[in-house]
Amino acid sequence: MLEISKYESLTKLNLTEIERTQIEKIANKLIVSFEDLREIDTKNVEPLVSVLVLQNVLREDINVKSISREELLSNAPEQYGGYFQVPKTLD
Amino acid sequence: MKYEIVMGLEVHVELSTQSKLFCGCSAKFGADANDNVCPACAGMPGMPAVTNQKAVDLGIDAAIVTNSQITRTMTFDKKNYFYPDLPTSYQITQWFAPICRNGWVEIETERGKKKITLKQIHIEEDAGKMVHDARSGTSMLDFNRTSVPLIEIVSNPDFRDAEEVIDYLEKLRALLSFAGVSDCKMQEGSMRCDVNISVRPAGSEKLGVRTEMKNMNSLKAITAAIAFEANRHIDAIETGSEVLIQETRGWDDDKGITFSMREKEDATDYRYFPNPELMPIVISDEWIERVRSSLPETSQDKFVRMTQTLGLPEYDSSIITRSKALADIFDQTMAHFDKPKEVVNWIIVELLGIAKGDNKGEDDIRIDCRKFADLIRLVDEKAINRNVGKKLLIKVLEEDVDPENYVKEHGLGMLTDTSLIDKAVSEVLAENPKSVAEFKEGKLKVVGFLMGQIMKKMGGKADPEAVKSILQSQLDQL
Ligand SMILES: [Zn+2]
Repeated sequence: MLEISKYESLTKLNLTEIERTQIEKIANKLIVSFEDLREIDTKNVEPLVSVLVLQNVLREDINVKSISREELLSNAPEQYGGYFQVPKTLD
Repeated sequence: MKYEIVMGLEVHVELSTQSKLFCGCSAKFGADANDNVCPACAGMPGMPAVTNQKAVDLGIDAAIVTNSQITRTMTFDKKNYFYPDLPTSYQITQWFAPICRNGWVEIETERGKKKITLKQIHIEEDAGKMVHDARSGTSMLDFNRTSVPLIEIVSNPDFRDAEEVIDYLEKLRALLSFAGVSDCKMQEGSMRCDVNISVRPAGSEKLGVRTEMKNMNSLKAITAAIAFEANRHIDAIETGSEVLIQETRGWDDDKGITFSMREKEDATDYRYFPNPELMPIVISDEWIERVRSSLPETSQDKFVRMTQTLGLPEYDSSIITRSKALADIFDQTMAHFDKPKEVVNWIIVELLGIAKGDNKGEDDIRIDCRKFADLIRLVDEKAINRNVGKKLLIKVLEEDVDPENYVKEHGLGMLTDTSLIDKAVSEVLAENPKSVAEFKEGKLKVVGFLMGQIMKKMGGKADPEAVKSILQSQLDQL
């Protein structure tokens, strides 16, 4: 059984009681499916990071100016003095 | 009861790259808010991340100077957490295959030498900056630092007191700054240190409850925070005044206390998983050799060169080689004036003295080394006396004056004309009969006072040695 409340706090979501019940049902089904995967023998299989067969995709350390600050902020719901403005968050 | 403090360090160091870790935005410190941000580092969906090769090179540098084992196939992972300073809601870091493991750094305290062992070093991206605006009750976000490359150097819990911690940080700073990995400035945040601390009865094997301290931005703050936190733990154990919990605590430098920030997450809470958008990086022998062969002189090599080849005292050499900035000033000044003992003296006594008086760190000293060398030469050749030289040094630092021209224009050249000095000595003796009488009674202290009076009369420009000998001979004839 998955503790939904723990993941709610980690993802900073507030679920309703109905949503919680629904997600709990789906999540536990998923966990059961993953249990099936455990039966496969992976002893000689290297962990896979990407399905692409590429390595060392690197770029040179060069500055590239891409978009202006105005453009960057144009999607922001709120902005002030060049900053993104969000509801008060204290750590 | 006697207690033992057990500490491990997590040191974040900003890498000296031009651009960010996964995009071409400038990594330069001090730009206007959100000036160095692109769709990739702003976390817009679908933007490809491509790793900066220089960051990997610098990571290999760090691995070499800390005697670490380089991981030949390294990968990047996503660390999930929700906080507004991270627009992607995950940080790209290395969890499963960090760039290197099992290194060590040797420290030296009063109790002798000790190896601090390292668990690992990993490359990761920095987060943005959040400013809380009390007036509007909002938080303001600047993503300039988002995705700037860092390495995190994770030590094992090998530290037993603050002195070891400080020596390790100084050692690390010297190793990394000489290698060009980072400028390691604590004040600007390019070197940050988190301390994991627990306390247990001496002799016990079992570790106590561990807390992590953040936000100390100077070595002094780190020392104070360790003392405070160790005492808090001991009090809690002895008196039961509070129940210690595993948590992250901030350091309040003004109040001199630590305060609870949040309960520490477990590693599983971050739900690390491999980042499928970033391809594995395979580090070959050739790559490591290329990086190794282009490594500049280490602080240790420089120390050996200064003490053995140049014959300088160990104490002086250790001061110069603990800071890349000072070592650079030494080398550049030596290139113009090749007398090591003189150059070292002027750096340690005068330059550092002035910096200390101005409350400046060693790394913040800015001086034209050619002019500095000219000044030292003028004193060495007795064209000016040392006191004039000291005043001139302030002029060079503050107004960037040319020493030779300035001396000429202001007539500061040393007065060596013995007839002039002779005259000044006679006048001062005549003006101070009381001191002369005291001298005759055997109070040799007054000689210093008379010297000062003569120098003052001659505008501070006389050759002090000539003044001393003429004064001595006149006094002897009394
Ligand atoms: Zn960017």
